[in-house]
Amino acid sequence: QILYHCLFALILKHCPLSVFPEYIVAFTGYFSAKARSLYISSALRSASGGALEWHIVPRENPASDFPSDFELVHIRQASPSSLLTLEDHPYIKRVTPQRKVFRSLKYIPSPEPAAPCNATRGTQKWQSWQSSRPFRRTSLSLGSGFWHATGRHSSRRLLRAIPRHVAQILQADVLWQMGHTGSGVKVAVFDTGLSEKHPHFKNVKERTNWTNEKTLDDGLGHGTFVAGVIASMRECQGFAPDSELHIFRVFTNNQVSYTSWFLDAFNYAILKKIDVLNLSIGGPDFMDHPFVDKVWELTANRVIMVSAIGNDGPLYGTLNNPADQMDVIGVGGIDFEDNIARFSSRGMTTWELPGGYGRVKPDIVTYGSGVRGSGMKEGCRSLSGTSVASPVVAGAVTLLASTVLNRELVNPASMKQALIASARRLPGVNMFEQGHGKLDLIRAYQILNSYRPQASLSPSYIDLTECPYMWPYCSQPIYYGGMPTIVNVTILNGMGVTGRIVDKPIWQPYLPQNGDHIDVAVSYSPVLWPWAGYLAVSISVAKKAASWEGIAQGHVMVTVASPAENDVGGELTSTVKLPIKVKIVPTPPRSKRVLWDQYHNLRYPPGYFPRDNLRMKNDPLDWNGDHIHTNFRDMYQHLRSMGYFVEVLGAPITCFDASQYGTLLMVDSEEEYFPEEITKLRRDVDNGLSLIVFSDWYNTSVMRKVKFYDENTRQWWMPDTGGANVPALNDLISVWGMAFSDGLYEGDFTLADHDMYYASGCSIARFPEDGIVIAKNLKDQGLEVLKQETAVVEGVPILGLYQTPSDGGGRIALYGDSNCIDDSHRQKDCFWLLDALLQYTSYSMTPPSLSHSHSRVAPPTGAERPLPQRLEGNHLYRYSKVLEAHLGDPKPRPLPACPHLSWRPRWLNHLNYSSQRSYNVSDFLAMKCEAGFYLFLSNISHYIYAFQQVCRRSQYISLLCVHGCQHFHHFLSVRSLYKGRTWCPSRRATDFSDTLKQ
Amino acid sequence: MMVLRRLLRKRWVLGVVFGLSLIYFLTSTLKQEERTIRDRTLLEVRDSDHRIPWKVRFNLGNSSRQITQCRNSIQGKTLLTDELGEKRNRYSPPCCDDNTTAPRYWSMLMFRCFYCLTGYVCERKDLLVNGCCNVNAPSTRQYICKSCLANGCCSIYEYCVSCCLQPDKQPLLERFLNRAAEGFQNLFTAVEDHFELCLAKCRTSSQSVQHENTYRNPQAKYCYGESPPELLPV
Repeated sequence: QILYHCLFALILKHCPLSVFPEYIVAFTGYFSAKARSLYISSALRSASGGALEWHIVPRENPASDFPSDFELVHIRQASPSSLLTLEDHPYIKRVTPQRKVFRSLKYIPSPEPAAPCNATRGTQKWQSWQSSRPFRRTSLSLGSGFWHATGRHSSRRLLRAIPRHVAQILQADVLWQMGHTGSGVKVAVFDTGLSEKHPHFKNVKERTNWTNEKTLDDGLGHGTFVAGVIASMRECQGFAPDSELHIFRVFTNNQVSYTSWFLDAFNYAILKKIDVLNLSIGGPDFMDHPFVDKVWELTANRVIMVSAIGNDGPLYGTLNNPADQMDVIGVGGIDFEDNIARFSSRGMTTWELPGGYGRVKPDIVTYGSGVRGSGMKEGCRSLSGTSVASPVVAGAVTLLASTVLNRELVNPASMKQALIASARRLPGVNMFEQGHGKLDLIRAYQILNSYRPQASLSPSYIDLTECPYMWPYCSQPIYYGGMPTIVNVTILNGMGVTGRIVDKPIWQPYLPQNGDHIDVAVSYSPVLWPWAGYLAVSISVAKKAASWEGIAQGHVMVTVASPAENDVGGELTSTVKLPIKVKIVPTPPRSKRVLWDQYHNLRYPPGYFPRDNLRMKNDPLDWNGDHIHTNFRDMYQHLRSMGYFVEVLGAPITCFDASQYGTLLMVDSEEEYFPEEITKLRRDVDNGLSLIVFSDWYNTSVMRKVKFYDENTRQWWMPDTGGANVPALNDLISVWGMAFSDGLYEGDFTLADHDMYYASGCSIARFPEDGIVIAKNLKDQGLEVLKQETAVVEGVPILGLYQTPSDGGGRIALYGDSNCIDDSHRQKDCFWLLDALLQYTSYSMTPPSLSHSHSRVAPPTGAERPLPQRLEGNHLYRYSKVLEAHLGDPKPRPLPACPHLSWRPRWLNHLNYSSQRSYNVSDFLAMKCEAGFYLFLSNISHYIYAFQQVCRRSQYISLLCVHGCQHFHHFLSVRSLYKGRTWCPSRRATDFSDTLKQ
Repeated sequence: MMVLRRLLRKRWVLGVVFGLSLIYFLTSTLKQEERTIRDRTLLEVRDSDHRIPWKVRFNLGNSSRQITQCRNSIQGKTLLTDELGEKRNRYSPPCCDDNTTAPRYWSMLMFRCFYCLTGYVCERKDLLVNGCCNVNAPSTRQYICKSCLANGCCSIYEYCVSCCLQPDKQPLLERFLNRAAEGFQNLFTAVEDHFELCLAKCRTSSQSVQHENTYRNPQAKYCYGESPPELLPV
């Protein structure tokens, strides 16, 4: 992820605060590096008598060996006049200030990663703060304006056989021979445009421009390529050459696009009754409500939306919007050897954090690496990125839609159901990487052409023992007393744009399979709109299995109803079964149990929460959710391999039983704390809970410095916290006489024979005098950011270990930097340190490497410097679950109630289900009749009995929305009109719809 | 006559005739080519002083379209706006008061009248097979402006469309089409009639947002009027 952002530069107009300006000097022709250097030096010598301090910024890419028409020059104190003289040079065309830009067409070098651009840490400057807010929509192909120039693909890939046409690999020719070529289907390509007379396209219905550039043509080649994969008719053939192409130009040649352009363009697509829409553009901002609402509106109007999942892999928690939406088909990339592409963004969705759990995305994967498609003017070229994978699916969808006789049956849900049910699962890859697997066009064709409107689930079963597919669930068994395991299932409803869940889902444990050893609670969308909703299944171990080990099974039955289109007042219903299989172990001892505090980590917010490593300028926001299954995945894997059981606390600290856990792990917390939490934690530590805190930087001067002007929202962005919320953390730990400072340090050092890198962390300002404190010599990064001066500070306290004095009291460990356990920008990991700290906190074993370290110093008293204060005028309260706006300073809200799950009443099935084969998502409908009939015969009496039982029971207790969609209710403005209907489903006993995949 | 015939026999006259025909042939073919291009890029940005050829027809009664089918707003969770009311026999009671300004159209051939043609809002379950609302359903309403503010912005999309379809909104819409819509040429030149116009006008658009990613007014964001939603602080 770090690699490709900086591979190209872009010129922005708004750069009022340049610190160390770099300039792009464009020449009138292509010259060698030597000649370019000569021209610039001669031009600048005449400028100010040679007094100017400048150098050429080296570009270390293969293209640098070839003549180029530009050069990047770094000039100190460049005056406008010196720039003018530079422009006077006969061979210099123009001089423009350089800005590193993030809204990029991302480029990924060949499989072996090239040296990261930031490898030369020491020479980096702080100039790019003022540039555009990076994390907005980007065009998701790998490559840029410099595609042709770099030649990076020339490593291993080109030695292979010439890539075949992707449409043929996916057997589109089978459908072509049957006479299906996409005719009559309207496809919209939202991209960089298309030139007018491109020889590859025969049915371009119209081209529209929604940008501020007065052209319809594609200046980048991205849009042409995408359109070619969908509908090219010659050379590199697309999937649906006869489809009706509607070209929407929404991305400029400078790679700028705004939400407002999209809103207007989407409205036009709705008016034009577009059938399939490809969007190879994405960004992480799922909090952009106008955009998200508009995508819902679009799919509600029956537009099948296919979008690229993002190029931010292999990091987890990097899904892009709108591909992460339930109603959109999100596409990830694989190479031609069926490996998940390194660049392809990984799940889970982070919308649902902290209380819930993310959904499975991408939906499917397909070829996205080295795919051939139309060149900008003519011919073919090959390109990589999820940008490429998305039109492969969009083309396939177009072709599939044209094969269906009754087009009424084709809608965003039914198409998605057909694609995911037919997808081929890749071995050895988990669901957050591959979704349902690899696109299989022919099987999708078979399913779609025998499709009857129904509901289905994604994932269609829950098998917490299945590794690696069900990672992370399969990586840790469940036990009594643990936090409930939440599986966020998406309900797809092909019956209509709106639907509802009839009655309540039923939990049916299989008694012979120990189903009664688990409790299941379910929460779900009140209204399934558009075409989809969620079903959050929380699984806990029953008390009677507290010391039991084994496998438990059962299933949840859900009935979905939608108004029937051709029957006034009638409803279509569909019942789906969600098989559940879990592994239970006896509750592990307290010392082995670690609790991860998720509640005080903020997921992607619409505010500015700067990254934890200030060197990573291309990625200034902290947006991966800070969850053990997203950007702290490696840490989680490590702790599991060390035998720890890691659970996630998605609620305030007041909501867990501290006697169950050895250590509470708080890493990089941005949130504030309720006063009740502070009191409770103090009591818990007195009673033996230990605490490990990985903090991060917080310096108000630096925060003011790192504000930037956001091109997308056209406003200044001021950080609302530092890397972590140190003032809030200090409130939490002050009772033990501890505090972090507002210092900002950086540097390499060695600790206990391990190489360590401290990337923008704080120091410990105050620590109890009987504690162990380790100090190191580090660079003062604050000084570097603010004044561009380098200074080494001796003896910076960075690590503290403390045993609380009370009898049986817990231990506390503090460390000033979280980057060494975070996957996002980690350079050197410090999992060994985490192990050592856990040894200390959980087992009270002080690592001698730390206690007898020669770096041990006397604990600081915090007298010399004031502790950091919250940045005045910060807007944290806007995004906080703890604070609310108040006259004067924001004040804490009332403490929310702890989550309460209402466990589904159980109906015990005495039938032996051991004949169940493994549930594989292989045959969606092929086996339907057979299996349905079989189940009908064997189980009908039991089902009827089950339904009667359920109907007899009184109302279930109110549901708690453990799933994060609750956060979105306010803009869903949903009012269910289906309240209070009673429905006894026994008449539906025979209506088994899809998921009979046994 | 003789002179003329002799003249016609002259080689250069024939040459001139041939040349002229050739020029005519070439220009007409070229012109045809040009026309196909324009068709393809019909919606390119036009000059600002160019008068936009609006196609919107406000009178639905004389449209040649089949009116046994209704169009509706498709997308809603529970509500729909119907374009046409239910077909009625001339002897059945009218569905709205005679003193409303709703248009009434008579179809002499079928001996049926179409009363209160547009603007029904009904629940999805009350939708008839032909896409029309069942006007006899208790919850079906016509021209409902519930949740709409004085500035023409509503909090529910379907109510916005229904309100926009009121005949008295026609002058407002015409004014909008002539003036305010310059930024929306792509969209509103493609709109064909009052119903499509209201469906499109009520959607959130570039006019609905501030700082790109925030609604100007998250409560009342669907507007049929000329002005954008009221700007609320972030």
